[in-house]
Amino acid sequence: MEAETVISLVLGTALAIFSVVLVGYSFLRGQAAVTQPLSNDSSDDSTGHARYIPTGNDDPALADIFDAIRTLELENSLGRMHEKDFQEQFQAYRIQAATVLRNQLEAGLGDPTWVLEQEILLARDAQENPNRITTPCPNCSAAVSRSSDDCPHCGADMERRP
Amino acid sequence: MADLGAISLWIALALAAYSTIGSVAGKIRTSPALVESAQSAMYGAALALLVATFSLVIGFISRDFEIAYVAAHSDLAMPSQFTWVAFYAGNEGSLLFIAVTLAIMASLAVWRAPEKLRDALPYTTAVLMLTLTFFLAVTSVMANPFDKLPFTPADGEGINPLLTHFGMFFHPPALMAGLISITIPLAFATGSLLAGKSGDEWVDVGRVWGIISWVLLASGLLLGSWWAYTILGWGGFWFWDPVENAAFMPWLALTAFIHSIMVQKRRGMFRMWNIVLINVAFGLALYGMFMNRGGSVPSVHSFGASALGWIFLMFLAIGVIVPFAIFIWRYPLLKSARNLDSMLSREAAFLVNNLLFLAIAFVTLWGTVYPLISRLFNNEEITVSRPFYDQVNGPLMLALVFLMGVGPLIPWRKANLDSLRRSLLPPAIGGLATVAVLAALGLHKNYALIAFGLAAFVTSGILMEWYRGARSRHRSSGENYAAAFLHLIWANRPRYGGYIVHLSVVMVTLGIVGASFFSIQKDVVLNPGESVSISDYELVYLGSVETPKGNRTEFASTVQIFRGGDLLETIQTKRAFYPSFNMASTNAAIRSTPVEDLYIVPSENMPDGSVGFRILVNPLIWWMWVAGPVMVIGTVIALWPQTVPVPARAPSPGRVATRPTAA
Repeated sequence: MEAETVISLVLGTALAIFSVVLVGYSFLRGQAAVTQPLSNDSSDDSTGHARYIPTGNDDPALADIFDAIRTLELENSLGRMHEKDFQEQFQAYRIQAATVLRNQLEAGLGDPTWVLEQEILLARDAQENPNRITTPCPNCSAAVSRSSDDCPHCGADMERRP
Repeated sequence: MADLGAISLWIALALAAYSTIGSVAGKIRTSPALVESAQSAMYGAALALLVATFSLVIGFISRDFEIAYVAAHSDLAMPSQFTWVAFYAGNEGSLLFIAVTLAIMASLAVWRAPEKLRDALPYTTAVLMLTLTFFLAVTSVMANPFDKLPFTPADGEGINPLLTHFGMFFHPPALMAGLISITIPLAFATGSLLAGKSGDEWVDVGRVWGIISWVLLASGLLLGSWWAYTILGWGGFWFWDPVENAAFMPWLALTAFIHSIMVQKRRGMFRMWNIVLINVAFGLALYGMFMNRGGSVPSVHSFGASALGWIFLMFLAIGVIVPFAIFIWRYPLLKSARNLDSMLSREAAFLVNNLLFLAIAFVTLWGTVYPLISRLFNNEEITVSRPFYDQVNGPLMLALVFLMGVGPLIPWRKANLDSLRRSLLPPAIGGLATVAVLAALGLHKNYALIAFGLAAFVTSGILMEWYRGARSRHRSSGENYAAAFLHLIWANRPRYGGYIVHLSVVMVTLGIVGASFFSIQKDVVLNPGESVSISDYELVYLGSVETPKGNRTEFASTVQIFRGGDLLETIQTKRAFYPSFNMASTNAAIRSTPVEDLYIVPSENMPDGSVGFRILVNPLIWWMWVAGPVMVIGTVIALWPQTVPVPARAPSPGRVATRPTAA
């Protein structure tokens, strides 16, 4: 047998052994790297929609909202929107951000003082702007357009709105 | 190293198959250990495929002609730098390249997947690994690059001469990587659906991988056009060849997808539509691979033809039916969070843009499969050529360029007529002024006038956006305009990266219009010392030198270029004949400027020293090749990770009442 063939077989065998160890390591370790049990259910709540609990202030959901606010600001500063439309959308995003932060608090994360401030501001805003077009979701309190049938955040039926 | 390569390939196949089954079983049986093991198997498959790849590369470097694939695609005379090209010169190597690319990208995508996709990740892994298993099974069983010859020949057959071009280092790998990487956004979308998610969780990762696939395909298409322009010797860059179309169609669907996914990310709309688009893009990518590997339609890419067609056709059928079946099953989950507020909105513009892209893709698909259909029903193969595509796709593409100018200037949700007029008036004036100036200068080709007007419209709109944004920053922060502009781009990378990509599309438009409507061509036979005039150039043919080289005979012809009596340049065109392939290849001599290309290619070298030349003046085509790097730069800016500053807490309630800063 040629030396090259022997080397190939040795390296190939080593690769095969490494692969078996790699695949079996999860079982040998006795515990999964996945820290939370996997859910078989396609939904986590009664609405049939998974509810995403944020994990911190680097939370992508929050980043998305602030990103959207920045875009809104930019479009407003470029004169592409009526002030009324801007205020309406800005308000909706702000309420969404506060809701995410409150979810963080409920999950044991986040800063309680900050969330409390948001709650107070939202309540004050609701008093000052009773005619705003968004309405809080009865399930998760996210700001939802009055024209929406379902909450985009948690999927709850908005027909049950107060 | 052939044995090591073969062993690695089989190990990779076993790992990919295990990963597919393990991911699904682990999810169904709620076994995190099994899911993690399956994920590890995916990383292991990538490693094994890297070993197989290195084995084949070493086989080429050492010219191990015992390996049938190495003997078929290289010889002792092949310059060593073409080892990389020889690697994917045939089906076996191409399939290995596709497999290793998919394995690496899949591993990166799963490794970097966000936490919110954790529930769906086993299904995503299963889709990715199922696709990999298919490619590895075909490679191992039907097109193994490590198969050995019964004897070792003294020399190989050599690399296809048409592949010995700089563009070949990037064009085929970019296209193959672009096509196969569409699997990744598809896998995330399908994984989310299988896990019962409502549809928005996969959007960010789907957008990023969709853009990566898009830019790979775009780069591959542009490099392929450049290769055709410089080496095929016919002076054009796009032939509407079936295999070109096969890469163009998924690119169209992906372009629609990466716009449409922004609507879902921003507004929670188009959930169903985005799943449909990524499914269509994946189906078209599989169709592209079927065309490339199956060789069912005559193509200039005949080096890819093989008997693998039927198996790719089966996989194409499965790849189309299964994702759509899952989509229909999960249809009730995909209801949009919002409805379209107004037809005067960016969402509506994106929707129309999507429909136009799909219309062009459908027209191209129809033209591509028509030879097959005509053969099937009439027993006569009718090939659809360029006039069909130009007449049908041309107006649709112009409409797309128009929308490219309008879309970014309309706000999300709804625009009022006043703001729309304010936004659109300056670019519209720019476009109309361009048309007026060009018409006054004597340009009377309507299509070209419209195209130049639209190009000016889009460019004016983008420049106006940049100016307004920079002015806004300048006023609010006091930065000078240059700093304000750079900070503006950096602070809004997806948006302004997109604008740069749009500019590159304008450049491509200029190149296509210039070369399609204003190209001048002359075919002449010149004896040494004779001259010919074209446009305002005068060319003098000085003579040819014949040089026998290892595997070819090379003819170098020298031509002087004069304009207005002044010598501009002395250039050399080359034509080589490869007896073993009974094939000639040409290297066009191109004097390229932003205004026009002077393109000279020798079509035939006569025994008496005369040479048949094809000479073209191609206006504005330079912009098309410059567009490639601009497009890549724009994409990199758009994809560069952006950390949006999120305030951890407000120091006082008053801060919340203040708007977040736009910067």
